[in-house]
Amino acid sequence: MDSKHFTAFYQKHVKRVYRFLYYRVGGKKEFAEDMTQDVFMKALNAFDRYDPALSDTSWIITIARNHLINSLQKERPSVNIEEVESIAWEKGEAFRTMSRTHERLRLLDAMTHLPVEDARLVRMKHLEGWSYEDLAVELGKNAGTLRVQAHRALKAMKAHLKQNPGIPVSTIEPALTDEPEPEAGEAI
Amino acid sequence: MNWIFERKLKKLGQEADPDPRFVRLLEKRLQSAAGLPMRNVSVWKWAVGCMSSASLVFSGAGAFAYTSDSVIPGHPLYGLRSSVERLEVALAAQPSSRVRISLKHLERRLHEHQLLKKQQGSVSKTNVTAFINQLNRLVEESDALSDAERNEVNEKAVTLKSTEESIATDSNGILEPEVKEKIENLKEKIRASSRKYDNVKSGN
Repeated sequence: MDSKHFTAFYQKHVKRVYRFLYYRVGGKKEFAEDMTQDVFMKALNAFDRYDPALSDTSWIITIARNHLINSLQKERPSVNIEEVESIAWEKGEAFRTMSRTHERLRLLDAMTHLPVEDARLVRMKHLEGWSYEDLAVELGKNAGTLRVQAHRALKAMKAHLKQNPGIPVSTIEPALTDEPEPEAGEAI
Repeated sequence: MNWIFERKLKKLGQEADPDPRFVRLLEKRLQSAAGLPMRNVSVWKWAVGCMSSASLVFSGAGAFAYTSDSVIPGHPLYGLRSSVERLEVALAAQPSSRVRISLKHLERRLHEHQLLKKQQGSVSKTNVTAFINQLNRLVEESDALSDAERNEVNEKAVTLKSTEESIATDSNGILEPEVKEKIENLKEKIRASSRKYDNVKSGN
């Protein structure tokens, strides 16, 4: 692809890439910005080798994922990207800088009660803004199947919220409140 | 209602959107690194967006003003119809197409005057005078056309003039002196133009 088309490519994908990185670096804005810049610089250098017949989203997300792994491996050589993702989500680190309204906490709490696959799908579709077509390529499933799966997941989240109308007591709560967890034996 | 729920999640997701200043800055950096000329695409997007919105807003009203029988002189949208017609004439590249469009507009004016007469019993002197003036200009403009085309325009002009004259005449068969004078001048102009054609035809 011609580098003249890169501006349009950048504008189409910058939010997606930033969100992808933001949620995986524990909601640290500066870190996500630096990484987004690096990812697009790499993409620019490789743009003439990009085949437009392939999914552009998958291409740029693959670059972002590889860059993330390489960066994290500098700190922890045995890092596993799946592990990093799930820890960031389950501990609520991904939402560190977000405004923490009661409703949002409840939504995130409901998400953590979903099966892992469903939670990932809801995250990617509704929080990261993937289209079902791109998700189908990324997850190797049929777009229609994913649509049905996401619909069921949302229903399950709604049911959870209905059954738990109060303030959520969930695994994401300690991280969101930034309070240190009491150590074993410590008086509460 | 899943869509409300989806909307809440979407809003939550938007919290993780990048700062627009960062997005613009990075775009500039990338363009500079790629050696591309700086183009402010967002300004273009904004301009195209505004133009699309304006055309969406006005196209419905414009189409209604242009085609509806209820839009006659005095209607709030009549000015819009006139503007669209002026634009139509201005966009015509050839004199023949300009004359053809003007003829179409005059036929429409005549129809409006017929409707006005039916609804209000008469057509104002201003409207009649404007019609005659427009017809005068058309005859003048037809000078630039071929002889056959000019003859065709003259024939149509005679029909239009006669119909307008009958519309402008009141129930007692009286025509305003000013209007009468203008119509006489127009008749003379059409006659002169037709004579030219007859001379060409007879080879004089």
